[in-house]
Amino acid sequence: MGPARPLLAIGLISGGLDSSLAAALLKDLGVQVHGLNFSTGFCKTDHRRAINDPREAPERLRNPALRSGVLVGFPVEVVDVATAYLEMVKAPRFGYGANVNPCIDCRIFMLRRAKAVMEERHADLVFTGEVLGQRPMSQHKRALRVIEEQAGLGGRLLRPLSARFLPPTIPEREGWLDRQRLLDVQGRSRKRQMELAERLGLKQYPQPSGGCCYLADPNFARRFRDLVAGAVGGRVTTEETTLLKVGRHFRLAPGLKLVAGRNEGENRFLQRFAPGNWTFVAFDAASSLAVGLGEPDTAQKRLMASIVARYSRHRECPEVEIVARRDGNRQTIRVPPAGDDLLARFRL
Amino acid sequence: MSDPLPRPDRVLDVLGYYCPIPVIRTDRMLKSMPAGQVLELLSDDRGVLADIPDWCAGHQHEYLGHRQEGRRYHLFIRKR
Repeated sequence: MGPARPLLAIGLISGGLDSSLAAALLKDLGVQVHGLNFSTGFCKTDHRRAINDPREAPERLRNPALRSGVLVGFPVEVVDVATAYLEMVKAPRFGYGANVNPCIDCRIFMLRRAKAVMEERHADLVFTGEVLGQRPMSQHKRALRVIEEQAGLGGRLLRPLSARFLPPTIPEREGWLDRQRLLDVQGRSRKRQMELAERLGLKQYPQPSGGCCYLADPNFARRFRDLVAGAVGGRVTTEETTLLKVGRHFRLAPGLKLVAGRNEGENRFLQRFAPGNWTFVAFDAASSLAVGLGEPDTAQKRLMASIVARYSRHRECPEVEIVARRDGNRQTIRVPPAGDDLLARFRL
Repeated sequence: MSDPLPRPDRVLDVLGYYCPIPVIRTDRMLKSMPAGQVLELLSDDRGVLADIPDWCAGHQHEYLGHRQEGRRYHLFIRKR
């Protein structure tokens, strides 16, 4: 006998095709869905929003999970987990994928949070859009089992798209959900999902996700490792990881770094880091704005200025005048633009 | 021409913050308000123009529209 009310399911919603479909499938079975969208601080869309280019169409900046909630018809709660998530990313128990993507720990982290919401709301289960065999690190059978165990969700974690390949969950065993109406999707092809989207009337689904997490980006991973390696007492803040997403980064010495904006939006964003730090811009010329993090000596300030000169409109000139400022101080530095070898030596 | 947007009962200023803060604080603020009241959200995160209407639709609140002043957006929501 099932609960004397519709089943209530808490879903991890990224807004990609799979999680949207999992929600739509459960709704189609009469299950009430409540979505959770965890904001980890490593989402590429969030970065575009931080840059805040006024020419960017709002639709390109939207949170796909909220859109999924509108299209499928369920509420999505956005949860800021950035600080705790960062601690997990620094030392994941199950290690990283190809870059600094701790996919298994990430799932466990989110599912533990979802379990707490399930208990708080007296819900019956947690679901995800995971598909068996779709991702090499976190979606093979053993990984799915480990994730469920570690999240403490034994029997209450449903993956509706691949459910028929997996052991029956409590709602299935109790007959609250008809296992035969759950699916047997596996592998990397999206063909079945596309067909299901059509059948469920999910015609404007968000583009399949993937590639939206900075942690799987090799350039970001290099900068992240550099940040963690140089962190005093292992302390890294979300503000510091936010900065890793912006501009060109140069490690000049331990404790000394230069970040140079690549466009007007990044220059504007970098202004946030100006208080207390040296900033560098080319005098009387369109240039990158760069922020120096740390305490540069005179030679290091010249080095920073030469990098900024390289990214100014006067990069072909023998010397460029760079204005360096920190709080009330202002200095003018004349330097030749940095050459390729110098950039390559310091660039992260 | 008269402004069709109503006078707000509460104003929430999230200038300088971007996703997910505007949505999270809007959610929190509306929870503290009685049904029928209007919240004005003041934001410079362009993405709220897509997210807040979507969030309202999912949570059954009434999105009343927005007014733009330069790079600042004033969004109006009636709590249901």
